[in-house]
Amino acid sequence: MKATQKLELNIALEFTRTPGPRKRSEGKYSGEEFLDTLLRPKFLSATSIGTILHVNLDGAAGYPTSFLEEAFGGLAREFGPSEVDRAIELTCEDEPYLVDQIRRYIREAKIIK
Amino acid sequence: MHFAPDGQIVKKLIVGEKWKRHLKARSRYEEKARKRFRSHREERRVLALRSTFGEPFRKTVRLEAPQVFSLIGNPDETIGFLNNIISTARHHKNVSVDLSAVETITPDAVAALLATIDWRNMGRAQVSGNVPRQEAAKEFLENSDFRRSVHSVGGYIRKRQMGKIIKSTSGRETINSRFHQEFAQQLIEFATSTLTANKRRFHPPSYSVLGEAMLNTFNHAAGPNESRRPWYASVYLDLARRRACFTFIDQGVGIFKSHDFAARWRMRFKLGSLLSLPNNANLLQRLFHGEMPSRVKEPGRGNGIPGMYEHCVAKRIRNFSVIANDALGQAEIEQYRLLAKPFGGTILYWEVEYEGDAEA
Repeated sequence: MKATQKLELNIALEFTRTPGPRKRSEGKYSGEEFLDTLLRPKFLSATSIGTILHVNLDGAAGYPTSFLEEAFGGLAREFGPSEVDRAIELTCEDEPYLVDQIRRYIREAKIIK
Repeated sequence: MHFAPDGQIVKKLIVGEKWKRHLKARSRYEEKARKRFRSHREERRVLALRSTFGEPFRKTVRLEAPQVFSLIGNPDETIGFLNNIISTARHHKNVSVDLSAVETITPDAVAALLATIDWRNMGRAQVSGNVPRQEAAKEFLENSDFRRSVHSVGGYIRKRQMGKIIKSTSGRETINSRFHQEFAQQLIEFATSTLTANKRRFHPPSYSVLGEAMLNTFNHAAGPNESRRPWYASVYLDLARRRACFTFIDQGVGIFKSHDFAARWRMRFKLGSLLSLPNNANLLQRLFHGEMPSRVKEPGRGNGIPGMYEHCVAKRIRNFSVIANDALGQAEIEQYRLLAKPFGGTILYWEVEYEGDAEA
């Protein structure tokens, strides 16, 4: 697959620079809101055209673990860890450890039937 | 002459001495009625206050702070002192906080003192106090932002703001949302902008720890039938060590008295290991290491405190310590121990190391 075919998602630019809690009921810019409004639709678009979704995590104030788990773990619970792991590419130059952390959340997610 | 539809003379057209006397008399009567109502209302208010808090307190008890006023450095004496403040107020006595003998004071203790003298703990007790005699400790307290949260007598001048303390409350004050991104960012920006000349004013690990701590407070700190609990967050800049010292305090039930935690884990451990029953220090260690899944029966939960511990192991934050009920855990030195006196709530403490480009 060519790099130019990737679908881009920049969290700081397209969603918020100050990510929030896990659920909508716990505050603004939650992982649940991010999953519903951006991550899932973009993931579906990417998989429908057979390309990779490139998620850029740079430029944000920080990511609470609950936010990341709800968004990426939630996506993996919905579509399967292997499918999500394969279709998403992550970059974070500010905090490189976040990439491994998210990969772990994706791999540890169990599909909800 | 004008007539109203029902045939009576319109009032505004009636003039004369008799009418004026009538108006004066009515005004006097109404004023008296208003006074009676006001005094009755005031009486009811005072009665309501007295039935809630009792009679106004007359006796004041002076409580002396320990020489080393630090939750992490001297937890037993410091927690004992803070607990004394609360129990004195609950015994209907005013409190005089005597800090004069304090020689060493740390940012966690300043935030904890402020949380302790919160109106929820003090009720109607009046709290007064003094400052340390020792010059360095006095300067520390005065530069820490503590004074902004208390009334100060004249003559106090803050030389330089080295700390920032933020409070979120519930009850009669309002909560907007459970996660206050702007509060977390304010503390971090204050630290980074003062300690570095760097324009990048973020510290993602601290932002993550603050966020998780706020969520834990709102989701778990209150007892079964209680409203949400308040929290205090502070940062203090230690210029000598070039570190920003963060403290987060909630005065909820504490991790180990959280009803869900107790119900789920205490019984399991009691049944599972009757011979070697783990204490709260052992449980805190397991919590740090991610060996205790969350009580919430939803997938992906329970990453908060293990995530903070990981930040400390990777040295993204330093000296990460937690006091919860009667347990103290220090991640960097892997020390977990029981305290002589339990703290009513949870304290998170960590430091951020800044190198190079100093502004201060």
